Amino acid sequence: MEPPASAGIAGSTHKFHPCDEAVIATNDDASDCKRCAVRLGYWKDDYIGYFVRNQERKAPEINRGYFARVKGVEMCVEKFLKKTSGNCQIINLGCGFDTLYFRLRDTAHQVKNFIELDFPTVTARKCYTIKRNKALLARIHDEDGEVRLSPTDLHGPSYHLMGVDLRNLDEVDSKLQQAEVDYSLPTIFLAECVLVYIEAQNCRNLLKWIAQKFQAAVFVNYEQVNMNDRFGDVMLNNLRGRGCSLAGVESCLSLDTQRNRFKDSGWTGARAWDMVQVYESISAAERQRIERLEMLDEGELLLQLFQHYCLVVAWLGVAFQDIDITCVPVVEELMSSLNID
Amino acid sequence: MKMADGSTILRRNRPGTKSKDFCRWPDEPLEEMDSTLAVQQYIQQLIKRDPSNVELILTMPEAQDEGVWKYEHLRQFCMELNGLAVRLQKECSPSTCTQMTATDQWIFLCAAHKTPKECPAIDYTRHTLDGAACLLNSNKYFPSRVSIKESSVTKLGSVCRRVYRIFSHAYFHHRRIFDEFEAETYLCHRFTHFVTKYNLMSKENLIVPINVGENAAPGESEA
Repeated sequence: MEPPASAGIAGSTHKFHPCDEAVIATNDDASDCKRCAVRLGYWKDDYIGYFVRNQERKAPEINRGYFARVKGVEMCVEKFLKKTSGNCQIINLGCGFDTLYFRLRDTAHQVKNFIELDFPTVTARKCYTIKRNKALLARIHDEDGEVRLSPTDLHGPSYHLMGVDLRNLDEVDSKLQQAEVDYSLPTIFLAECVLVYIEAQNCRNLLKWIAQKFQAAVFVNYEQVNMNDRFGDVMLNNLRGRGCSLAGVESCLSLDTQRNRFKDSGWTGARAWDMVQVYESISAAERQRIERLEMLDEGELLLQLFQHYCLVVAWLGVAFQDIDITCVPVVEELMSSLNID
Repeated sequence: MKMADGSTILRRNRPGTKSKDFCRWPDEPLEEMDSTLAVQQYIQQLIKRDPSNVELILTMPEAQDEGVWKYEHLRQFCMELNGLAVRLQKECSPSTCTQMTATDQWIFLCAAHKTPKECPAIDYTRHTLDGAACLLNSNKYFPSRVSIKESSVTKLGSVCRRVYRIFSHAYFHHRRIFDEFEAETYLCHRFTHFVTKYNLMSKENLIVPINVGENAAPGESEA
């Protein structure tokens, strides 16, 4: 078993493709897994429960996989927010039921604008959930603002959730303007298992478009890597069996292809780590804490999963080229930290 | 107050005043109004003389503080909107207009509560006008009628965005009531010119079709 992908966009045409439904279903799987890990105490999230009712227990290696993913993305966002002192905007591509906006509101971090984009069918469900829960509405409200809703879109004073097809750049531009995007403001883009579902040319178009429109930006991309070996083949077949073709998988062959996807699309630079490196960069105390939450029998499987997912940080301009969350692990430490005896 | 001709102008509607004589005192130059309510009186005087002369009504007198000018106009809009709300009550009810909408695209959640709430349109109208009245009379934000704190001027924009929903709901859902009220008061015309002139609302949000291109003054300040 491998961790399922998060919500994303698939297919190679601008019309809704049957494959899109299978990709959208991966959002449900990812959200279920996050709910399970949160309930076990891997990380704190007071909001995931509003979006996910499923109480199903997941395997320990899945929980640790999601822990590494959530922490890795969080560490990148944290560094970005510190550098910008909150004078910035966050754009979450293929956001699914991600709760980062709500979790940030519980911290001291300020953000000028937070924009979420996903398939309309996903945003419709997210809008409905937000509308029905006072705890969520309270977070998108401020004293001077106003909240407006359509079936698929929601606009608050500094939070915007919109249904869009990321392959349609005119629509993306139009929606971002509705969300009061500021192209000159430092911006961090987040995508978790999203680009891999977009056909390669559409993905390049999106990344090029962003590189042309925004002045200072960071792109944090979490998804598959090393997909050209036997383990990768098994993952691919498993996802295809569920109707998800990895249209963008050619960029997931190695850390090099992950970096080059951005550099070939006009981004100033990029660096990439597999999740072994990311996990190792999480503080030892935190890793020890979560490793005590439940027993892990499949150390080898977890290692393989970590080797087949990666985190990429790309940047526009020079202000954010120093965002680096890892240190190089010693082999012995690496093995022991994965709880392999 | 003394006029040059020696008579005293009393701005009073005595008990028993007939409706045709209501507020029928003579006009008075702004500089001769000796009251903390001078700007309000001046604006009301211009409206009473000719509500269709939007440009004159919105023309700020020399040496007038712009923040106070905007504040007094917004107070006046909210007062007059109560007249529209009264007429809407005859037709707009929670059972017919279950949400605050203008066109079909957006539902507007009522901002007058601790958390945004999905109120019927007529309740949104009442809550928003009550909320605006509380804010504009708040000693915390607007303690004076002769000067406005810089930090409070930004509140005017959010009040404008909210009260505009009342105009747009009336226009798209209660057109006859809107048209009758507008013919008498020119209130939406004046409001549209006002928010355009002072950049209190973006043009794309001004969905009631009123042409301000011909005689609107260029924007003079950021809210």
